[in-house]
Amino acid sequence: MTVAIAAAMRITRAARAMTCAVLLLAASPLALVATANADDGVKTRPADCRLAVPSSWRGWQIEWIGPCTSGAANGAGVAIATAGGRPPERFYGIVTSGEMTEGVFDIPDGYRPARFEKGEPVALDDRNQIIAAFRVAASAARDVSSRFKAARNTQAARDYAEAAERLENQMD
Amino acid sequence: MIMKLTGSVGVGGNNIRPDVIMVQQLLTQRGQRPGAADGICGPRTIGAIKAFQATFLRMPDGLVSANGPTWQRLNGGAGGGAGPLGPIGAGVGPLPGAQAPMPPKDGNMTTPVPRPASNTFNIGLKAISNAMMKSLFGMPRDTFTQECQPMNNAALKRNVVTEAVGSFKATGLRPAVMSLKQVYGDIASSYPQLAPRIGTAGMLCCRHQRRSQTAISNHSWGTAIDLTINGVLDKYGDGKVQVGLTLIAPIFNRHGWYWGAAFGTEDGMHFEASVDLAQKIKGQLA
Repeated sequence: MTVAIAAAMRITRAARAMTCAVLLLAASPLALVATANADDGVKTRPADCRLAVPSSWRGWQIEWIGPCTSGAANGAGVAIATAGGRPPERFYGIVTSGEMTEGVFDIPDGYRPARFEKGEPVALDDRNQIIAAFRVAASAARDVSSRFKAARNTQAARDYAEAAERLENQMD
Repeated sequence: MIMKLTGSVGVGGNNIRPDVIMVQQLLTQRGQRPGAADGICGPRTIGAIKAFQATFLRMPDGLVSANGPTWQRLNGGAGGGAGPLGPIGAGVGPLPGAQAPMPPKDGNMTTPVPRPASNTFNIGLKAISNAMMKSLFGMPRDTFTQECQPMNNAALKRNVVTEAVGSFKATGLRPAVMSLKQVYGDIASSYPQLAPRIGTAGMLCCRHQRRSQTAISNHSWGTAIDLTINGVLDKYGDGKVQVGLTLIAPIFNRHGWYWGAAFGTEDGMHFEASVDLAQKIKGQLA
């Protein structure tokens, strides 16, 4: 996908009012301290939107594009993880009170559908669960697309709509 | 009868007429189309050599050396590597000296690589249509949705098994699952590092095709399977396939499994019974 972190950074003030996009430094899967990045151009993002991420993302920079409630990511959205010069990884899915619950990791090598136990993704082998995870992920990508569309960022809106399409089509 | 080449045949070869005729005849026996056995090594013969080599070589060179792996396969490999349902397709089993696709140097089996050229896999196999599946096996159940539902066709259902296939469990029609076990065994022999990393995203699943209200997924009959490597699904429709899939696809092909990478929209994680294999499965149902 061509959506880059930069696309998220271009989000407008109108979208910021709707979207809780936080930059986190992943420290542990269960207790992350949100820290706003003064240099990323999105200074109005709240710094208190917690999101626990799996250990594989420990030390990565995390951006959450989705709703926040009571200081924690909460609802459907996308978490974008970046580290060094590596290609970004994304999690499309549902977060409940700052904890990832169900969705799909979009990594350079493919898709990894998952549900979460104790903050860590559990691989799915039941086909219905896998189909459900992709459905949740596609819906989350569409939500993100809508947010960018409302913010009049048409390119990012299109990119996330295409991501939703790909996720929707993955399972036959 | 053991036949011998006096010289090489194909691209840059000696192309001595009796040798060319011998190669052309053997290619035809292996399901290739070199044209008439006229002893002339033209484009059709070379194309057939390359297509045949593509069933076991990563980089077909179009040359049959006098005692090289291609000749050994052509001349002595009939029937090797066949599963319980017998040999299908142009591919034959491993022979001493045969060159197999090479695993990636970095050992990462999920690295996406461009989808291989269409004339290098599924050689001699035909994809099966929805209509033919219905005609062969009947409807697996009476109603479908977008969710996986159990089979309720009693005649088919009594043939459904769930069994361990190496590193994963598969549920499908018994002959298809038995064939998968043979495939997995061959993978484990050829790629012992890769085999335990293979998993599945499901085999039997009675549902409509994605976004359709009428067409039925081929998974509905338990003769198709989606594979994962390290729990990662190859992305549908991006024109790339995980490198590990390129290694195992020739093995699936040899057992009559058609690789979904050839579909109009590439589906690299998908393997399904080809027409020939489906017919053989049908013949083995209780």
